[in-house]
Amino acid sequence: MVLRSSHARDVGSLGYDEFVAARWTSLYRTAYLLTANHADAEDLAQTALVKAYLSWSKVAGAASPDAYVRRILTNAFLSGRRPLRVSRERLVDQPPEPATVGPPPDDRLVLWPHIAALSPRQRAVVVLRYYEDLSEHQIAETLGCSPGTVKSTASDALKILRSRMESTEGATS
Amino acid sequence: MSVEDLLTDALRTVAGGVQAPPPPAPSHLVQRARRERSRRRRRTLAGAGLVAATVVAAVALGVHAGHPDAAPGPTHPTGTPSGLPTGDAPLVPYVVFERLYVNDEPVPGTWWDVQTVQGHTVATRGVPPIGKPVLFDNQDQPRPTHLLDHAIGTARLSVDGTKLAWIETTGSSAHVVVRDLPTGETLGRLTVDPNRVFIEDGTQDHILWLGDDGTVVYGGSSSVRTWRPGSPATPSDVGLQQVKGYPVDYSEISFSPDGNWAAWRSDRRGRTTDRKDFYDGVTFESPRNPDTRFTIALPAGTNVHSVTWESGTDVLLRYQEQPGAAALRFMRCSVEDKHCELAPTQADP
Repeated sequence: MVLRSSHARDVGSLGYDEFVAARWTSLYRTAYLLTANHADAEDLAQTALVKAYLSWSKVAGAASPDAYVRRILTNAFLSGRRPLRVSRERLVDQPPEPATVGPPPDDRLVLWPHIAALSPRQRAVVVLRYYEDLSEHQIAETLGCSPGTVKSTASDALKILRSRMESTEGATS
Repeated sequence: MSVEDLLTDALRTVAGGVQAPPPPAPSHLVQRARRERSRRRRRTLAGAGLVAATVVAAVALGVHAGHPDAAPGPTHPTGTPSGLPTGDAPLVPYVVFERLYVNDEPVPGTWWDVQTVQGHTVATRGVPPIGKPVLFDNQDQPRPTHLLDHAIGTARLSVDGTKLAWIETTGSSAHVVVRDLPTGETLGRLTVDPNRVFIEDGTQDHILWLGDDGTVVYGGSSSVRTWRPGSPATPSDVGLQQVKGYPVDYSEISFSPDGNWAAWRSDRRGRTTDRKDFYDGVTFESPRNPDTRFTIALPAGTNVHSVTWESGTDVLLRYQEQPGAAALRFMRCSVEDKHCELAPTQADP
């Protein structure tokens, strides 16, 4: 019989290591969609995993540990935004490391710059809805707001994307 | 195709093309989590202390209000650097609020500990104590040139900017590494105690100084050791030495790019021995010529944290405007006219 320590951290540590190894890529990709750059994505994914460790007994005991950590990640992204500073910043044209998105953009990527330009909350809703495929209720639970707020935020985001796409098409036709 | 379908398609295409870096070592994340936990505890205690202090202040105010003839309490220094003229933004890369600025423009990511020597810059990306040092090739057209995986904490450039030292961890081992930058050759790797690399209270070992011959001084609050690549792998328990002829150790002194001036932080009278944690002056000297030594007294309350040469004549001081101020700002002082000016940044209010 295998005896396991009753110490929560010991139990958590075992599962935690496995979770990090198994879910890192998926978390990183979601973080990249939220932040739109590799450096911030790595920081965000690491921060989410650090926070997950601090609540590991809750994460491990949750019906869906993935959903729990995704909630941590999204909230870390939203609470880590500093709108006043961001609005004054001009990002340099060279990232601190070579971009690792492989092939050149195809037609589907025409939308990506517009997604990346949405407000952080709109982007979070869009990523959770259309990438993670969550329902409005699940998104509301993740973001700690009402389903109505999710609906209106998604609707605003779609409106903006439609209008920006129309402008782009108008400019290129 | 509807916008919703396009959106799903676009997000999946972008995410599918993203190549994630290797996952971080869980042990690093656990250490970060523990540090975060102790920070939270300290914050809670500080909050309780603030409440207590507020109560005491309120009581004292009440007592004072009841005795209008009582003497006023002591005042803090009132002079601030705000009266200084404002010059250009810092010409060398700098970090404010965990954001790195190169040519006064932010670089994405969380950053800490930037060092510029002889036109070379090394900055650390990540959240302390986990960091990946990134080298920038020169300060005119800074471009990142190296990303050192497994490195942890701060890296240090040598005085002449040609060598770099850092501590790296791989699995259960830790090493001090010294590299020659022009050739890319690793000059030596010293096995060090991995238990000293991560310590929750922030006293973990890190690189303190690197000499032009590759001599590296590393350690934490409990011990400081010295080792030179090519010498026996046993480091000596010799810490930072005072530079011959100067009142400061090697980590404090900074030489101008042309080697014509040395600068270090001091008090307003040029002393470095008293009030060691408070520096309201900067002292200059032409090497090997003590008669040229002079000190620029900064406004009262200014506390200098670091001195970096921007050019052959100007140093950039990173300073606190008032004791206890959260934000660090920048000031430029010239050896030519012995005057200083503010160096504004995008992070200034």
